[in-house]
Amino acid sequence: MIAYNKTWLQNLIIREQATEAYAENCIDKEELQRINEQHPSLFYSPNIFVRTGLFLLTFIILLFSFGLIALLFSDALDNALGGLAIFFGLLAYAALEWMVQTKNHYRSGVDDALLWIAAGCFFGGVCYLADVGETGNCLLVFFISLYCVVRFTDRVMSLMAFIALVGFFFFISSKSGNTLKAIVPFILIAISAGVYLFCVKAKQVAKAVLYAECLQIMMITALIIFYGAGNYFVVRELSNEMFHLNLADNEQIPFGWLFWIFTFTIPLIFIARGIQEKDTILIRVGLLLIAAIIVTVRYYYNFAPVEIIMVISGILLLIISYGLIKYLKKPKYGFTRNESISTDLKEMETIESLILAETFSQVPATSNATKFGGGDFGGAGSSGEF
Amino acid sequence: MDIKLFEKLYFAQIISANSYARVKLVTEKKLHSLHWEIKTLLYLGVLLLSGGLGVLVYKNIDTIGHQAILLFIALVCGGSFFYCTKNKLSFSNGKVNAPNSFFDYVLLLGCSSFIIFVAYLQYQYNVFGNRYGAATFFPMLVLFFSAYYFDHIGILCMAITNLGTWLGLTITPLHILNSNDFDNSRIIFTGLLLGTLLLSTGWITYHRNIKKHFEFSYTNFGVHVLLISCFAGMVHFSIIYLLWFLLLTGICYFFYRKALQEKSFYFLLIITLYAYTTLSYVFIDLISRIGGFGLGDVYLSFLYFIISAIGMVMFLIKTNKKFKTS
Repeated sequence: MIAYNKTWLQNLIIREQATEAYAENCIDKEELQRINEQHPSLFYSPNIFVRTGLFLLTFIILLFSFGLIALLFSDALDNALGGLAIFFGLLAYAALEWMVQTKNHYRSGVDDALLWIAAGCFFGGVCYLADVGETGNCLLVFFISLYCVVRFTDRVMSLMAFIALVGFFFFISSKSGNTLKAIVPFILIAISAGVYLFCVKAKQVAKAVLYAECLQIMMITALIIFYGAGNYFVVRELSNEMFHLNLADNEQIPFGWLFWIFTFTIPLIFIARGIQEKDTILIRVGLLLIAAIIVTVRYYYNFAPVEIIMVISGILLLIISYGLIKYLKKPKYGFTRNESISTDLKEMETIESLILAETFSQVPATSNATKFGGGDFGGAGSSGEF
Repeated sequence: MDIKLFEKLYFAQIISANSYARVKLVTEKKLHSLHWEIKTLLYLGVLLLSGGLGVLVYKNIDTIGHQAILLFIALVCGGSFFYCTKNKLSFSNGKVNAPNSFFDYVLLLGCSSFIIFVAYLQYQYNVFGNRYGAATFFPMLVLFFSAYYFDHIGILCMAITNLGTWLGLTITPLHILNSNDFDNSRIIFTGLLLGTLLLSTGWITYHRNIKKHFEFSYTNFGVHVLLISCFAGMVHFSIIYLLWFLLLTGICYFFYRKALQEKSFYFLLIITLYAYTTLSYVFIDLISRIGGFGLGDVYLSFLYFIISAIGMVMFLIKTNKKFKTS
């Protein structure tokens, strides 16, 4: 099923584990070398920067090749465009298979670009020829990206497949009768819960180990969609928009209280479960969704100006994290505040420093703003998170 | 770590019984790290607090409350710097680690609230009069000083962007292209100057061994500012653009050698992209000057992009191999 050499993929995982074990001082250097020798992986997968460069360049090549072909047919482009796109998609796909099977490219940027162009062109072409509407398009995206996931274990494609699936059920149930319309949120909640549970089960299957990263992406998405489908803001505004309820500004939706409860409790449940199970995904998604609670409440109840909320929540966050640091001075319940060994400190520090420069450096210039041609007015990082 | 895997490796006699036991022990005792979660919370806390204070002060100008707010900002700023001075480890020319992760963010809070404070003083009381430069110069000094004194790369990057602002350039990573009017010879020459200044500072930092780990930040900002200014110069002074083209090629070649020497994939990538953009610009410019861009020229330029990009791919792959073997 997988286009890449499966043994090498498995060896890659073994090598990663061995490197981690070496970093934790569990195995010595000779053992690490022996493991690497006995588990070769001859993929061409350059480092992230070269990968980015190769991705961009391959993209340029394909873009202009398509342009060149389109130019040749420029007289009858309207009729030919759909067929041309499908043809080009298939061509890119053939190139992709060739790069993967004979040139052993694996996440090299070249195969990423070819995969996306092939899938995109194929979808665009079919879409152009057979105008199938929203539901059909979702289904089409779902099958194309599912194929890409199964054959190329691409993480972003798994995200696409999942979103297309959710979109399909959303459109199909919102277009049919009134009863289905009313329970759209619950349908989506059920689907994302189902996908999440499926991923949890699938992760334990030994054969699925090569799809572990795809499953992880899908689990994160499932949690977010699960919450989004029941979030008061999303439900109210979306159903207002889609089903033309024409709600007044402070009018509640039917079963509004239910969605309010959902909005408040789900993030807390995620975090609690995450702490219980020591599950990083649940904890992080839960923390993210806490922000969603605040934004949702603030949208409907204007109890204080934004800047006051920013100051108060800023102070609260600092106090909470200070408390956590003090509390976890010695590891408690299997949690520690210290870094795990495997993260690469230097790179993270550099990235962090650039983020700081980006978000904190909008110097509040005064009346000279035009003369000096820069610096947005209004407080460091006032473009904050709310 | 996956115990089953190491069990297999142990049975295959690839790792010793001792090692297997260690893997088992470490995995069972493995602690769950909340390091990055806490860091993110701290970062968001500082971002929200300083952002909120900044807006608060501007919204409340001319009301009674604003002096209280100002006092609060001063207290936050003073308190942060007091905490940092008290807890800091002693200064050295090498890398000094922060005593804890809270420290870094308190320093960040201190610096950002200081910037707000100075900006407010200028806005309300015109402390620096009409010498607007002083209003950005002063915070910049404080930022540079804090970066070195407390050893904080993030603050250093803020200081560098502030230096840019003082000279009239926006050089934050995402705004460098769209916030500057590069069709202006003053901006272009300022950029050249700033880029050269940053690069030479980076060089001195490294070779004099003063906070060696700061070198990357200087060089990174320097390369981008210098190359973008050069490119802008090439577009702006279109009559003598070959001169700028030569300059750009020279700089790119210099950094290509440097990237090879240091085995830096990052610099290899950005140099390749800058060089490629420049080359494409010159090519398109040439054929539009000669042929006036008819249909034949369109074909030609499309072919150029396909062939040149293939060439670039091969170049990248080859250089990548060179890195690995040397």
